[in-house]
Parts: sequence; structure tokens; C-alpha cells
Amino acid sequence: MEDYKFLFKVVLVGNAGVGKTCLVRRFTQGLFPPGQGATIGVDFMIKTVEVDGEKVKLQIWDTAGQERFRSITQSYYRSAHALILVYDISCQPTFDCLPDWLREIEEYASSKVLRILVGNKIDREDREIPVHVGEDFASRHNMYFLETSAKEADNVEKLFMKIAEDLMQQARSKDLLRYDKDTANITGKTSVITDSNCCSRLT
Amino acid sequence: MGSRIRENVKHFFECFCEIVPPTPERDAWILQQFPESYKDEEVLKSIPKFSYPCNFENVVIQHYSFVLTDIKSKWTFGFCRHDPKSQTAIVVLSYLPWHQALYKFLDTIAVLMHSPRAEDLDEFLKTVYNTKLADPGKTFSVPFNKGERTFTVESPKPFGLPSIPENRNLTEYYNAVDVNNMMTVFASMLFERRIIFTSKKLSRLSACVQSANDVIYPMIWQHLFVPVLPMALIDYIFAPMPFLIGVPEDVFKYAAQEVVSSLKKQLKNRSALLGDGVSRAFLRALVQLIGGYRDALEIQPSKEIVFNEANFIKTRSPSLQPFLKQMLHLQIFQQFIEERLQMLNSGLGFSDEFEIEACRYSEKSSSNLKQQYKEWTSTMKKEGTAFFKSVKDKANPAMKSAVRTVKDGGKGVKTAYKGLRAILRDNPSPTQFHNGLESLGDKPRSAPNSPTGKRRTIGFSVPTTSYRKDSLAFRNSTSDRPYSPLSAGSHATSPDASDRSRSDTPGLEIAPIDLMSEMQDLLHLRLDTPPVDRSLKPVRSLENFRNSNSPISSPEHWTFASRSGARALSPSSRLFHSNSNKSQETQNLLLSPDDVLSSPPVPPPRPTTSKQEFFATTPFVVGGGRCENGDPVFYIANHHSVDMVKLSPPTASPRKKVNGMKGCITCFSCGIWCGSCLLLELVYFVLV
Repeated sequence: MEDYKFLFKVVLVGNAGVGKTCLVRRFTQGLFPPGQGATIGVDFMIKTVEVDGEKVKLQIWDTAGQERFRSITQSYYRSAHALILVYDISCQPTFDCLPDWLREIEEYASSKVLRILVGNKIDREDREIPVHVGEDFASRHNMYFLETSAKEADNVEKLFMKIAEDLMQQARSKDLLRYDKDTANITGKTSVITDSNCCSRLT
Repeated sequence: MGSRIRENVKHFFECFCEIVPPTPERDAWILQQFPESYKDEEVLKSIPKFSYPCNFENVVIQHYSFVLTDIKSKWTFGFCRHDPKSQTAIVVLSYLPWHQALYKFLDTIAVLMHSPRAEDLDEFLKTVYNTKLADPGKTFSVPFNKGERTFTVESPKPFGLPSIPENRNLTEYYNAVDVNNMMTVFASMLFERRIIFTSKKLSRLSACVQSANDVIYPMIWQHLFVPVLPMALIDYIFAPMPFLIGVPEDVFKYAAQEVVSSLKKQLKNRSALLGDGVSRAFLRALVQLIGGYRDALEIQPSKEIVFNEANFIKTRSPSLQPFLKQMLHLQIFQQFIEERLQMLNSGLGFSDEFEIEACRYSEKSSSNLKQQYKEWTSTMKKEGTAFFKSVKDKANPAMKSAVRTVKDGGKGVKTAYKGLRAILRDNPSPTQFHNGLESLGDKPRSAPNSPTGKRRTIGFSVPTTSYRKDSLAFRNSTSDRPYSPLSAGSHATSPDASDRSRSDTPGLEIAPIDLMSEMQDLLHLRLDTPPVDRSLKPVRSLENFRNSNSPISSPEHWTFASRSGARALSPSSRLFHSNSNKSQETQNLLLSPDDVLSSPPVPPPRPTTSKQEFFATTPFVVGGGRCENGDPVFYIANHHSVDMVKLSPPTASPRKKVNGMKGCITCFSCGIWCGSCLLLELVYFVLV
């Protein structure tokens, strides 16, 4: 078994055709198990990266057919560490759908999941959503923001590396906290862990 | 939309394949297929994998089904037949979830494969493929063998609930899973957990997973759905999103233990209630839970009907509110509401089984609603909004068939009731036995040797002793028990009286907890009674109890499977223990794949012996993990509390001590309905 210190699960969400799968494939560059998306309905890819000398394994889950959801609900990401919401900068409707996607997330603002908004396809000439519009939206919803091009590999590496770094930092701070706590409590009531230091800008 | 079954299916089947089993040198492969024109590469690549998902014994003819999900989340069903006399397996892919019909089809194919005339099979496949599907409720028949024989299947009627014994899946599910586990599965599905079933028998595995989905009708599972997961795709059990996966037991090596024979005996041979009794029980539970969505509909003339979430919660009884609040935010519920609204807005009205049941549940409010809806539709019609072309065609047959089912259902109840009375006569005094139980029942909860075990008592008021006691009490007092729509008894005694009381209490007045016990009552009454009533055999039961008593109070009897030692200290497992994005530490104990596959916690250690007879008092392990110093730690729950037991140092008891408890691991059965104790993310069921 491959040796790694952290394993993080990342879930991709967004309209069909915004390039979720391309984004992941570009990042993992062939280092993934053969895709089962077409027969299982969910695909995942794995890549191990190194952050501060530690091996971090990212498991990136890519679901097909979310279009049928009116919005994504907490159950969808409650076991994920990070949630990447993708739109296509050259396609207004994919941006217009973002509030729908986010409707549920907003209600659960306390949820610890790391949220990233990604405008993909910046290689396209026919941009419809200016950078600042995406940025505004992200900051209003307390998300990180990044524009990428899966085709040109712009910012793709950066996106996932940032996620890895952030999650690791989070994990470490939680871990430190944990040592102060008594494991005996398993009801989840007292073990409120604050995520104060996970808010560095993702730029 | 939410449905995952394809519409407008043209063929009875999409593709037939004969598969050669894998050898050490080569993966399984397709020997022949029909029609040749079927070209979906991804699917064709997957069929052999799903046809031979693992090594399995093939001593009798086995049928099972798998499901492939396409990019649009629609399901394609694969039906397999493994014959020990044959070198190969045969598989049929279909868009139709008609299990019985397609198994029958496979059997016919198997016969024709041995036909002296080689063309027979080909001709048969061609004719079936090209024959237009029959309308619902009609017969689809295809002559073969030059017209000497005929292959006939019936097109299932729409809105029909799965029935025992006609529906093979449900029959299997009912035989394989006991009532408590059925309810746990049901609740876990409604809460969109990550659910794993495992079994040695592929047929059982696939049937149970399919049925688990069938009984949440009119809900539809929205997430990963894999009734049989091939070995090669085992990583999917680490998916962070909700899933319902059947994993062949072979894959969980550490779980491959001897089947407890007595348990097996107990699970079989049950006198099933014929018809759709089981399905209906679940449907009623859903009506009770969410049927009240109708009270939150906003019907205004000339506007689309909308659902008001806030009103929905507000109008529910306070005890149900936490549960429903949680539920509002689940995919499954949103899909449900959306589909209902679509039905209403397109003029289809309240016509399916669910709505009929909901009407029966609260007649008064539903007649108001119907009146309102009638007015609304007539306005819409006047305004010439053209949504209603198909109203009549669609709604009427459904209504008719529903009325019929209702009548039949009533008969079933009466039969059950008769049997029940017979039993009451035959069984003079069960009291003594139950008192014994009660006092013993407290022991397991104390877990005295768990040094760090802080315990939280969860607001769950199911009787502390076995549910059987409850159901007995009910039997003795059928007459003065207040009406509840889930109790079969009151239906049978006086339908009129219950109707009256029902209309007096519209909406969901019943506490969520009651729902559980009501369901227990119902299922036990209707399913466990004649002719074999296991609950009324004190001698056997007490014996079981003694066995199940010891291990819990003394954790030395618990053990972790070997390998845990060195790795246990690796920081990663500690970290993952804490990393779940919700702060609850009990959640997600299995975040690292290594934890699952190479070190033990799932399934966690089991007490030496214990039988499901005393489910309610017997704690079961709900999860495992490690604490800071690497010591294994696991959680035990029963109906009242969750305890943490820390083992320090890990005991090294021989493995043989750790068995039993099959079929009820990881039943986090406590606060399922209270909504506030969503302790476990992963729910795990072993089907023996």
C-alpha cells in the first residue's frame, strides 16, 4: 500500500460540460484508476502530492448526472473534505446555476467543508463572465476562487495543491486540538473544533 | 428527473452476452453477444467484471442482478445466471427492472442453448428483441421452438407495490433481514447514509439491495447504487457521498467467518405474509413521516402549486420536527417534493399508492386538499393552460388498481389478525419470561470495564427490553390501544372506528419514536405470527440471552483482528480519525482506506455469541477506530445509549472467539428517528 500521511476527499460539482472531468484528468495526468464514470455513475481519481515534505493523497470524486438535482444537499458532501464548484467562464448559464447549487450549502454555513469556486476554460476567447464577477460571487459566499484552464493546464496544479495545503493545515490544527481533548466523548457534543486558520486566500 | 428508471423503453432486453469466467491469466470476457449492434464499449467492458465480481462457489443455479449507472444517472440492469453445469455465465442487459421476467427469460435462454438446433437460440433472441413490449398489466408473449412453446411474461402494472412472494427481491429481503435491521436500513436510506450490505450469496446481496430501494417508494435513492460491487471496484466504498453498495463477502476477507447455523435456521422458514404487506408497512411509515407535505402545499388559482418548507415543518408535531428538518435538506426529499409538484402541476393529481395511503391516513385534511386542488385544476382548465391532456388516461387506471389493492390489503390484515388470536389462545403466560429479561437487560448497557466510557443517553424510548415484549403487550390490549395507522390490529378490529379517530387527528401527531415501535408492532404482528411465532418460545430465548449476556459486560471478550498492532500507531490513522468534516468524532472512522482494508474496525469485533432474538437489549458495535495512543477503540450501542469501549492494551484472544453477531453489525439503531444523533456515517449490514 502506498505510504501517505493524509488522505483527503474532494468532490466536484457543477453543470454538465463545464470541464470537471477534464480538470481532474489534467491534474492527475493518467495516474488514476480506469474511469468507471459511465457505468457506476461516479468516477474518482487519486493523486499523491507532497506538501511540506509530507505525502498527501487526494481522492477526487467526480459525479455524473447531478443535473437532476435541484441543488446539492449536505448529505452529498458531508463526508468530503473539500467541495469544488465549477462553472464555465464562457457560458453564462453555468454561472447562473451557481446559486442553485449553493442554496443548500448556504443554509449549512457551519459545515466544515472547504469550498472552492472555479471558473474553468479561461483558454476560451468568448468569455462571458468577467473575473471580478466570479470573485465577487465567491467572496459573498465565503469561498475561495480561482480561474483555470484544463486545456492549457493553467492553475490546475495550483488549485489542487492549494486544496491539499489548506486541508493539511486544517487537519494539523485539529489534530493539535485533539490532543487536549478526552476521547471519551463520542457524542460529538463537546468536540467543537474551530477552523480558524483555514482562511488563507487561495490566490 | 429523480427517477432512475428509463422511460420509453423499446426492447425487452438490450443485450445478451455469454461470459467466460476469469482464469489466472485472463480476465472474464464476452464469448458471444446479441445483438451484434450493441456497441456501448464502456458497458461491454464492464459486463464481464460484474458477471464474475468475485470468486464464488457455484453449486446451484444462481440468479442475481447488477446495476450499471450511465452518465445521466439512469440505470441499466444486468441479470446473470450461473449454472454449475455450464462453463459460462449468461447475462442479459435490460432497461427494465423486471427481475422475475428477466430471470425467466434467462432460464429459457439456458434451455435453448442446449437445443439440438443451433438456430433456436438466435431466433428466440431475435423475436423477443423485436417484439413490442406489452402495455402494463398485459401479457408479453413470444412463441419459440417453431411455435411449439411460448415465452410469456406479464408487464408489471404501474403503481403496484412489490409483493411477497411474487417479487423475488422483496421475498429474499424479508427472509434475509430481520425486522430491526430492515428498519435500520430504511432509516439509513432516508438519511442518505453510506450503506454497505455484504453477503456470500450474490443472489441475496443483489435482491436485498434492490429491495431496500424498492421499499422507500415513492422516494428514489439518488446516489451511488451498486447492488453487486466487483472486486476490482472495491475503492468505491470509500466514496464520500451517500451510497448503497452490495459487496460480495469474499471481498471482505476478515468478515469471512462461519455462518452461525442456528441463525440461518432462524432467518429461513419464516412464514411470510403474502402480498404487499411488507411494502405497505414501509409505505405507511413514509406516509406518516412525509405524507404531511400536502399540508404545506400552496395552491393558488392561476399559479403553479408550490411547496412551503417552513410551513411543512411548522405544521408537524414538535417531536417530528427535528427529524423532518434534517430531511428537508436531503437529496431524496427534494427529489420527492419536486416530483410530487410536477405531478400536481401537470394535473395528474393525487393518484398513486402513496397518495392513496396518505388519504387513508388523514381523511379530513386530504378531502379539503382535494377540493382545493379540484378548484385549482378547473381554473387552470378554464384559463386554457394546456397541461392536462393526459390526465384521464393516466390517472384512472392507477386509481382503479389502487382500489383493488386496498381491498386485497384488507383481507391480508384480517388473516393476520385471525392467526394472532389463535396464538393468544395458545399462549397462556409469557409474563415470567419477560420479567427475567428486563432485569438482565440492564447489564449490557453498563459496560463496566470501559474506563473512558462516557455515555450519552439518547432520547429514544423504545421499551428497554426486547421489542417482543412490546408487541406482546399490544396483543393483550388490542382493543384499548389508540388508533395508529401503522397498527394492523386496529385496522382489522374496526375499520370504521379507526377511520373516525383518524379524521379527528389529522397530520402527524405521533411521536417519531412511536413510529419505530409501531412499525415493530406491525411487522411483528403481521409477519412473525402464524404459523411459527418465534417470540413465544421462552425456553429458547432465555438460552440465547444467557449467551449474549456475558461478552458485553466484559470487554476482554472483544478483540481486534491481528494486523492492527504496528500500523495502529501510524499517525495517519489518528488523523483520519479526527478529520471528518463534521466534528463528531464518531463519524467517519473509516476515512483511510487502510483502516478499512488492512486493519480491522469494519466489521468490528463481535461478542462471542449473541443472537438477534434480543436485539433491543444486546448492544452492537457501531464503529471502531483508534484513540491517540493507538489503542483500538470502538463504540457499542443499544437502543438507549452509545458507549465507548477502549481496549488497552489490545487483547490477543484467539480469533475463534470473535464470531456470532452476523447480520446486525453496525446497527446504529438508536436515534434514527430523533434526528439529533446522526452518529454514524457508514452503516454496514451482513446478510447471512
